[in-house]
Amino acid sequence: MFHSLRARLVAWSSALLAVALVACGALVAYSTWSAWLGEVDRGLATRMHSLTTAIRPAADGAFDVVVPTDVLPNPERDYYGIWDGQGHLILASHPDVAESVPSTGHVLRNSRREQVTSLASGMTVMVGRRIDNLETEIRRLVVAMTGVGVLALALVLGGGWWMVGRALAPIERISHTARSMIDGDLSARIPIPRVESELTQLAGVLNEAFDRLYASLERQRQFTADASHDLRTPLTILHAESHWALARPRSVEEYRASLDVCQRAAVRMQALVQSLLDLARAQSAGDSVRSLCSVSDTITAVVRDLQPIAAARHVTVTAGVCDGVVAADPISLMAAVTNLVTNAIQYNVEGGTVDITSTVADGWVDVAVHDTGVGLEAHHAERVFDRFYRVDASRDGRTGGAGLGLAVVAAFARSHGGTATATSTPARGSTFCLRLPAQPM
Amino acid sequence: MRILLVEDEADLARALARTFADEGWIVDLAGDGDDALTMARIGPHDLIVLDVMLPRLNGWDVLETLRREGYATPILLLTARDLVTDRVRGLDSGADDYLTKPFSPQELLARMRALVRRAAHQAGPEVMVGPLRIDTVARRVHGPDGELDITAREFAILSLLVRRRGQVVTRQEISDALYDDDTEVMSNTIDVHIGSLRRKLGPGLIHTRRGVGYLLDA
Repeated sequence: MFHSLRARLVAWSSALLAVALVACGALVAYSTWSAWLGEVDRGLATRMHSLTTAIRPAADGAFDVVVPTDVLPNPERDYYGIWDGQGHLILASHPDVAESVPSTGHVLRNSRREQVTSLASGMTVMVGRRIDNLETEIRRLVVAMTGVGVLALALVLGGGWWMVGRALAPIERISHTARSMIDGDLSARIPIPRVESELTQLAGVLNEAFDRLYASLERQRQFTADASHDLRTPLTILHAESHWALARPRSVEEYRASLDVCQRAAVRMQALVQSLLDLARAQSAGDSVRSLCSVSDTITAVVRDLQPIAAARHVTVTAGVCDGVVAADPISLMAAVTNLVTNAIQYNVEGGTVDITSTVADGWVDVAVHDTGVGLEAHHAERVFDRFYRVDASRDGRTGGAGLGLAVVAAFARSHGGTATATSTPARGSTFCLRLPAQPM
Repeated sequence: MRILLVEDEADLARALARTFADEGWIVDLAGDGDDALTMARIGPHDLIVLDVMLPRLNGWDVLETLRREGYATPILLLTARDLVTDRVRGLDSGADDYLTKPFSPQELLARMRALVRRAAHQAGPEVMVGPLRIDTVARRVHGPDGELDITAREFAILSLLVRRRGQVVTRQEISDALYDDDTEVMSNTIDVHIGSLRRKLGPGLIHTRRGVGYLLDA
């Protein structure tokens, strides 16, 4: 595609130039020739006048002529002829002058220019000049112009080929980069030359698109890797623990401890699978599963469900209600609010409080969950909604969840046209806010 | 044989450590990358089983740091990532083997035995020493008159001497391979085991280098 585009561009511009050159050349040659011929004709007219005024008709059809010298200013080229009323050549300056009477007017033939005039006496007078030298000159001019034209065309062809090639080089780089991306090198980017042009802008736009695509693929890959890690680890524990227990007879206490380990692994896997299902549901909750949900009813139900966990950690949960209604998948809404409150309980200090407020304003329902926990550094607060993101980099099960709880909240908010945000003061506590479009009552 | 197990998942670490102990191996356990480096430098270990995803210093860094320091002990990487690029990176960074979670414990044990064998330049799982045939997988010793009755401790000493065949093995090295750091070892315990082993194997195999240690040579 690229090569034919280059060839087409160069061919078209060269063809246009060729037409222009030919037209120019023809115009120059024609006007030069006309100017020269006009000059010759003016000379012929002067000579004709001299000759005719020199002819003195006598009685009985005879005449008398004394040819003045200015009739033949250049005897090598100039000639004349005079015919009588009967058509007989009666005087000629040159043996080549034909016997027969020529027709009157200006004639150009055999490299000669002739003017023929009939006189009142019936005589015919002709003056002529050989102009083969002018024809040679005009031919030389045409050859010279053709040479210059061909040279100009060659320059335009070569230079155009080079310049168009340079101008289109980014396209080749773009296709080369795209090719290496197809081959799996997703980090390939189009090199952008320093000189700005439309194509460098295109390359910039494409690079940005590649970056986004790469980032989204990378997120997907990271998600898959994290999910598989979090499934593989408890599976490995199950494998290793059961292998050890079955290798030889063990004591009852040892069996009990082994089963305990196996159960913990199973619970971890179950929690992860549940989170993955929640996430999938929150991401894809379509209109068909949405219904009008009372925010305060949801909060009340969540608080009731989580009361035992809060009590076990000596955390007090308070909830302020509002009359906000949202159109949401009730299961995902429940999961999102549950995850927010669970998170606030889990990362709280012993004896701390979790304060849930909900407000309706400007067409939005805001559910804010405030805790008195350890809080988050700003760079953690930004990423805390990412899937599998954990503030503690070690990916073990000690802190409980798989790191998907807040990701479920964020996915739910996104798919329902809302937002999920976190603000935090380290060592003071955090506030997680879920904002959803309010439904008019 | 002394293994350094680096694994931050407490349940998995415990299960693997007990499985290794069943094999008669001594296990040192490190829960993060920093501890792993410290314990590996103190040594000596016959093998490191290293999880890649660790708190503080990850497994790649531990691996690369140790290899940069000239640490030559075989290292087996454990990871939950099974991308080819990860495997290539692991092996090219100086790991000797690579196992992806979830794995079967039998396979892990077999790979560990193979790594240790290779490090000791043993051709196969069975080693011939004079009239003895030693099976390092089944942990049995066959003499000219049938199988010898050898305890786990004695076998551990014998397999260490076999791995270092023709070289002097110090009493400290034997003690490191037999006991973890929490066990108080009496000064003559090693001599007692060696004496018993010598009686069972017959004369002319285990030689004493006074003041240095012992050496196996047929």
